[in-house]
Amino acid sequence: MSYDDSVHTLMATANWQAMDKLSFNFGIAFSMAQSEMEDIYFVSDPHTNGDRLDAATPWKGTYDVVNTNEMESYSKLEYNTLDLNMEALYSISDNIDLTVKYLLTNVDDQENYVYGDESGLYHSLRAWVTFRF
Amino acid sequence: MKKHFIHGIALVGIAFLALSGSAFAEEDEATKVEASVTAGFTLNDTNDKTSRAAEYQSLGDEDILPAFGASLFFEGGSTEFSFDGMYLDDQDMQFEGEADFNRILGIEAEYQKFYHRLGQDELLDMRATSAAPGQGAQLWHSYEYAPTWNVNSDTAPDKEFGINWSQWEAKGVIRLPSLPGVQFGLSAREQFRQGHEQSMAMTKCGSCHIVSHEKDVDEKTLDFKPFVKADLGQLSLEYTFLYREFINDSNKTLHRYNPATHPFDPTSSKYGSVNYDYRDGDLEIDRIPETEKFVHTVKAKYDINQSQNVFASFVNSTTTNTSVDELNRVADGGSNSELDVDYNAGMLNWSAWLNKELKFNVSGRYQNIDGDDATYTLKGKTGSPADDITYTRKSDESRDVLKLKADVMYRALRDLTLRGGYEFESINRDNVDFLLEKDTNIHRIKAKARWRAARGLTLNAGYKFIYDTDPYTIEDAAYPTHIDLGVNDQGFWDGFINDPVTGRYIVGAPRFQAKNTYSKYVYGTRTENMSADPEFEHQLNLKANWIPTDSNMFVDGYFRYTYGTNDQDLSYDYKNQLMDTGLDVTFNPAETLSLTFGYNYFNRQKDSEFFIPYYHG
Repeated sequence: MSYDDSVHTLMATANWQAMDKLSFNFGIAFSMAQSEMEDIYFVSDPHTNGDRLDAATPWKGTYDVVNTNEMESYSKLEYNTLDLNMEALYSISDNIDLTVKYLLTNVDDQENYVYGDESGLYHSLRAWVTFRF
Repeated sequence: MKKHFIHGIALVGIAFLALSGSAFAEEDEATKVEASVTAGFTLNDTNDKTSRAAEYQSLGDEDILPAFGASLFFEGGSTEFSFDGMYLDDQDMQFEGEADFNRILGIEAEYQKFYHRLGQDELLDMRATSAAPGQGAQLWHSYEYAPTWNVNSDTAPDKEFGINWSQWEAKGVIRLPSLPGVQFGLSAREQFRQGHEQSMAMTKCGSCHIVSHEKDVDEKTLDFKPFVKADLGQLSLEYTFLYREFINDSNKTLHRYNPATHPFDPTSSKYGSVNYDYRDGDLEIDRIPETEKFVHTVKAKYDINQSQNVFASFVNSTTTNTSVDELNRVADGGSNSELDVDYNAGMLNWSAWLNKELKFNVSGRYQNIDGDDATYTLKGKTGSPADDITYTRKSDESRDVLKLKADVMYRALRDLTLRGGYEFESINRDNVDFLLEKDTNIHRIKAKARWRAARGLTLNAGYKFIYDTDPYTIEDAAYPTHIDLGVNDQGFWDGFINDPVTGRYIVGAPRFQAKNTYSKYVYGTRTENMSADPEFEHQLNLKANWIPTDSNMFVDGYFRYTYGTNDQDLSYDYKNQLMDTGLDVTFNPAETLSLTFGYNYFNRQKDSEFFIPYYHG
């Protein structure tokens, strides 16, 4: 059995003071993750012929070790995640700032394993005024 | 959505009006006051599942919510005070503050609260068999978790789990002018975890049959930590006492086990050779016991001269499982003895610059862990008290650990620093019920170099070799042989078997009689060892920092590689390798613009044996 786990992550950030009163922050990260047990090979012996383990019984060989060889791979995970944040800060006056921020996280789950399809999107727009005195 | 936006803009306007009327300012030469108030809104939306996309975001709904923040800094005479906080909603907030009065009394405090979304294991991929739904390794969603769910369905109930996590911590320090260099302090922390999470339990035979429940979580951890520190010139002393209590007020999670019928004969024994079934009624599962911990820590550092110092420390702790009395259902297999763990450790370190180029560091640490044994009374084959089996499980934690370490650093050239070290660790376990070896010795050798190869270019390289004489190995964990199982090359019962009950080789044994002791037939026939730890491990670390001359660019590159093998007492190939590498580039094309690009690649491969001997997933 081989357990293979790999993650690629790309990221970029930018900080820009566009004007005396206006600045921008930007960040993006994208990751691709894969994880899986491969080359699963059972060397166990199918010794359960007979009794209630037999396929001819009402239990259809439920416990026959032959049936445990159904699993060719295990613990498969494959998902892409995108994180994005953008922020703008504008100084309305010496005492008042306006901040606008946008956050986004998108998960693209390509293997509906263990926790089901975990694909989902979250985004949030946030705006606030800071008054200093 | 548009309606929410309008509400949000209106909210900001109202906040503005409120603030403009409440502004105050007071400042003179002796007093300084700075304050700010923040008001705004958040507009949030989610699509599909939130357990990963909004894992730590409480604001998951399509809602517009007000957000508030404030900060205050006050400095007047010998008094300072500061406060900072942000409130997003009743499940997401953070506040912190500090105060100092004439350097005699210092206080700091912090409060944080957030929501952690949890996923739901659908339990649909654990099947180790091709049996029809409702049989073999199929999953059983039942009881209060999903009372109306069709257990033969090939889908899972739609459940959302999450924990409200909150914590406050505070620290106070007193420095008396009459005792210069001495400070008395007290810190305290209280952490709360409340919500629901998924709980799983085996429902009859082994790990193939799993059942899921919705588990109530209402847990609290309390820390109380007084301390005293003294800086007495060359000598520094510190004593800390920690009292930690874990309190579990969660509702009990109860499970009624399935009838124990297959593959054993239900008419030959009450329980079909398993310990519980539905006839025992609801039984409590998956509960974290309450604990109480006392820790005493003493540290001392003595500066022999400007280039040498000695450091010593001692730790004594006792951790007690305070739920033993509550959970002490001996009749249901609970432990009938107290469960304490005592820990004592001593450490001594000598550090010295022998000259301007050469530094030595030598240290030794000894630890002793003494865990109580747990004694269980299990039901026998018939369920009659006369057949009860009492078993004492000795503590796996109990051990003595000795660690000796020597490091040297040598500045060979102005631009070249070399480091080397050797570490020896000896682990002597008190109990080895399931392990191949009781004791192990670990040797670690490391070498590092830091070279400023050229102007703007710095290279770091490190190598570490680890040799574990006896890696943690479970004895007889896998691989029954034909003779152990009593089967021929085609897998059919042939009656030639090492009797699992007596261990004697017999010919013509009847099958059912020979395999009627579950523990001995299923577990007892395994003959090969398994380990997840390496015997030899190589670790390589490379790192480079480059700032090209006359440029506005910074480049960082790194590479980490680990390779482990284990050929000891294993009948399969073991390999474990890990690679972690990346590159970061920062570029400043203008004074007002900074750009950073990064790439990271992580890969881990592990070759081992995955074995399902019989029944077990």
